[in-house]
Amino acid sequence: MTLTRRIALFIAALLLLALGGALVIHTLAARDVLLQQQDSRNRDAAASLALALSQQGGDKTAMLSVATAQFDLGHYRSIQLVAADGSALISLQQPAQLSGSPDWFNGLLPLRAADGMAIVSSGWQELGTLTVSAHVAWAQHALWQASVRSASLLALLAAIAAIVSTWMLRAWQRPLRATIRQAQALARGQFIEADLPSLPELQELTRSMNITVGRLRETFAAQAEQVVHLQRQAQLDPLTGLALQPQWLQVLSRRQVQQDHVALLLVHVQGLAAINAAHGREQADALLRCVAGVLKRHSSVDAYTFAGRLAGPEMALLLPPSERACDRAARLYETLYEALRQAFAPLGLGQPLLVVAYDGAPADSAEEMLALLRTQLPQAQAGGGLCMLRRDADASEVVVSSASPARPAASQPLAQAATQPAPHPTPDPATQPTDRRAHKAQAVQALSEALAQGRAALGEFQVQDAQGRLLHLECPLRLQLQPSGEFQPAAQWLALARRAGLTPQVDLCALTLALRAIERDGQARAINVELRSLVAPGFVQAVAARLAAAPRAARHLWVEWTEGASSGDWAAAGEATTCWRALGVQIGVEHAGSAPEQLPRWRDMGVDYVKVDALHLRGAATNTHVRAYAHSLAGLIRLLGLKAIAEGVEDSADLAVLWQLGYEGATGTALTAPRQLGTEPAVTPERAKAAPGVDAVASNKAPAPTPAPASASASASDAAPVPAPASASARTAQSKQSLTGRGRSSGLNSNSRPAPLGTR
Amino acid sequence: MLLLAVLQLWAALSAQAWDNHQMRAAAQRLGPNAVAAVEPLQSMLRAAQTQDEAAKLSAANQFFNLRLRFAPDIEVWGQDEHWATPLQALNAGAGDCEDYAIGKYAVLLAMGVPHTRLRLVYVRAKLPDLATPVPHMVLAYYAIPNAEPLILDNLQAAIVPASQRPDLAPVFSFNSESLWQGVGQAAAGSAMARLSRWRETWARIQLEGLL
Repeated sequence: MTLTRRIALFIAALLLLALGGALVIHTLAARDVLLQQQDSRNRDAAASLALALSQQGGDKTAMLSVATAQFDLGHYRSIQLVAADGSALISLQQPAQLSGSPDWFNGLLPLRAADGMAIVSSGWQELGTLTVSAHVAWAQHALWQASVRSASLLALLAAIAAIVSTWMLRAWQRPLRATIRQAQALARGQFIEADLPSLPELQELTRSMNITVGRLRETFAAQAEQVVHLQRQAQLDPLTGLALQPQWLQVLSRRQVQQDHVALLLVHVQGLAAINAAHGREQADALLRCVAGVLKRHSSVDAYTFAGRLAGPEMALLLPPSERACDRAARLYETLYEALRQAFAPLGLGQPLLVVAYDGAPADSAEEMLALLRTQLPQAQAGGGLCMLRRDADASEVVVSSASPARPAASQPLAQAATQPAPHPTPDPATQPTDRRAHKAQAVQALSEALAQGRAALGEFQVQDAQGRLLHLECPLRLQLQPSGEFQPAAQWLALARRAGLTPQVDLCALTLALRAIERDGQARAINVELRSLVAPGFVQAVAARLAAAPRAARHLWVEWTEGASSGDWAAAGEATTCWRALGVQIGVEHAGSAPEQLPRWRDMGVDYVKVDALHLRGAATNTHVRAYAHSLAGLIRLLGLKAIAEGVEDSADLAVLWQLGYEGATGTALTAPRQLGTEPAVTPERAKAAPGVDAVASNKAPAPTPAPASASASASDAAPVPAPASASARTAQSKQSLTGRGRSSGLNSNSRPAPLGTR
Repeated sequence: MLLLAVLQLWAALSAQAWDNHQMRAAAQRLGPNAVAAVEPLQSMLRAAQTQDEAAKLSAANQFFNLRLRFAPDIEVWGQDEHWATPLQALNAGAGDCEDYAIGKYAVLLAMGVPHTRLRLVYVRAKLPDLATPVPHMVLAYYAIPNAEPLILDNLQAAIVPASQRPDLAPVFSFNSESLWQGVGQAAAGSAMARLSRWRETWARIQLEGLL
């Protein structure tokens, strides 16, 4: 029973006891008074009548008339005169009248007073004993009326007391409820500080809770800081202190998505192996550190400059979008060269540096950009160490120019080479410029048509928990760009959709398909939504309308977007979260882990889960830094009250470690067959539809382990759509694509996946 | 205290109506005259245990007639009307007609005379030196019910039958029986008990240990 009810019951019992007791005591006291009154009445009546009778001189008739007169004029029940020998000289009786009080009351409180007795004499002789008894009916009636009056007054008092106490209890409940609300909000993960209530007991409690809330906030901030620290530790190159390749590539990808213009520099140190052999490992390392030092100095200038170490001899510097890499390239080259010359002149290094600068429109992926720059390294070598590339937004060609820095021996200031359009065609493997522009327009047209006609389907990838239960299905969208063609995963067309501004339609299409699929089988599904769709006008409302039209399905829907929100996105994301969560949708952040300091902000907005990008988790079983970072990420996410889900887990050892670290869900190829899912045939031809860039990149890498047993198992089991990937290239393609960090990495998994459900 | 309990027990066992110790204590509260009178009173009570009723009547009558001088209440107590207990009257050394009658009545009851034989009677007394009768109270003893009573009076020293007292005209008689129907000693403390003069006096008599 609640405290309030207990207090109310106690007050009621107390009132009952007090007022009931008062009624009983009053009634009994009144009865005592009435009895004593009656006693003395009887006695007085007997004495006076006996006196009167004694004056009659023994005349029986006279005595009788006196007694009768007294009896008739008074309220007597009986008057009796008994002689000494027992004979009744006078006997007058009148039975009890109706008293007007209920019989049960009379029975409960009988009024039986003592009879009055007196001696009647005549002269010196005693005639007999007179016994007089008056009626008690009046007394009983009076007692009854007094009791009824008391009872009603006390009942009225009780009612007033009850009302007053109810009102007081309510008033006292208010601060208690406020405190409870604060505690409940705390349990839900909302950290509110409450005003101090008026009750002193609760004041202490609220004060303590406010202090706890403050401490929790500090803990979060400290935790986030620690996570960031561990991130740096896990993701910085130990030798040079620059970011590692995955992180740098992810930053580049993000920059390419968010900006229309990128500027970056690739620095390649030649002949590292020769230096290593000739002068030893320490010299090679020192050389690298020297170069890295210069780049670090440049990157520490502002937040938008980012340096990273790519492969062994390669480093890269990402510049702010407002800068021109080509302008800075020459100065950078000179600075680097001077630094190296001072440190390593005795070594006679010759010209170890190659710098490729790029200004212009972003590429479709970070790998593509990197590949482009790397192909220009020979050009740079030929051009004296520096090569500059330009590409405009509309143009599809890359303008190459190279500058010839002065020879090292001359120590002359470098001459700024004028940039001229190169006469020879670009090494870009794409077609001619005009063809490329037309091709792009054509692709946009095909994309719009596919969306309009609904030639789309959803892939399905398991997200399971530690017990193997299915949390939801991740459903990337695939579009049939050519009628009766293959369903292309997002990697093929998403960048195009972004540039064409078609992402709202893409996301709405995915939403419609997902809701339809959920209504069909009731299985929870997750779809990806682009951040730039959120800011598109009317998008949030359109999604809300469709969710409201299918309320049961909406409750099984999970919606996620990437972590890297820029300042313009927060408001839209907040609006979308509030709006869609009210309809039952779960909101999450995917590809997270690079900006852990943003996670508390996401939590305050109201997201429910966080999917950590594979690049932060790969190697958790073997690399202690990665494991520590993954652990602290999971800890932070869980501390914020969110679900932590691991993405792209390929290694079963990693998976086991991730379960131990506290991840509540995982997706990726390392998951074993689920408990429940329909059968899907294993289809290998889809691998052939991987993006050209992907293949080009994949061909640079060493092939993955043998495909034969895997494919045999894939074709053998028709109820296991999530076993080890069926082919080597598929696996590498998958691993490469998961580095893009942009919403469709799991879409690339479709390369090894069977045909989607419900496909046309 | 133990001695007191033993004494009371002995008093009860010896069928003695009065309580020596209580009487002495009450007498001490009242004054030296009462203390002086307690001893002869108690010895008279003791002696009366072996006497017949006539002797008891005579002893009680004489005791009070000799020790009390007649004086109106206004002179003795400063009040118009005051009924004194026997010890109070003995302490004052004076009393009026009711004091005599009540004193003799209480003492005779203590001696063991049944209360059915005793009556206190309101009479009109014709005094020799007054033309009109005056209100008076006497104690009447009925050897057998409805027989002619013997009158114990302070106007005359001798105890004579009523027929030999033509100066007395009875008005009304009563005794303690009619006042205590079914009520025991406990009622002495009741507030109602003190509302009538006779009952209050009777309660005080009981407190003094005579009965």
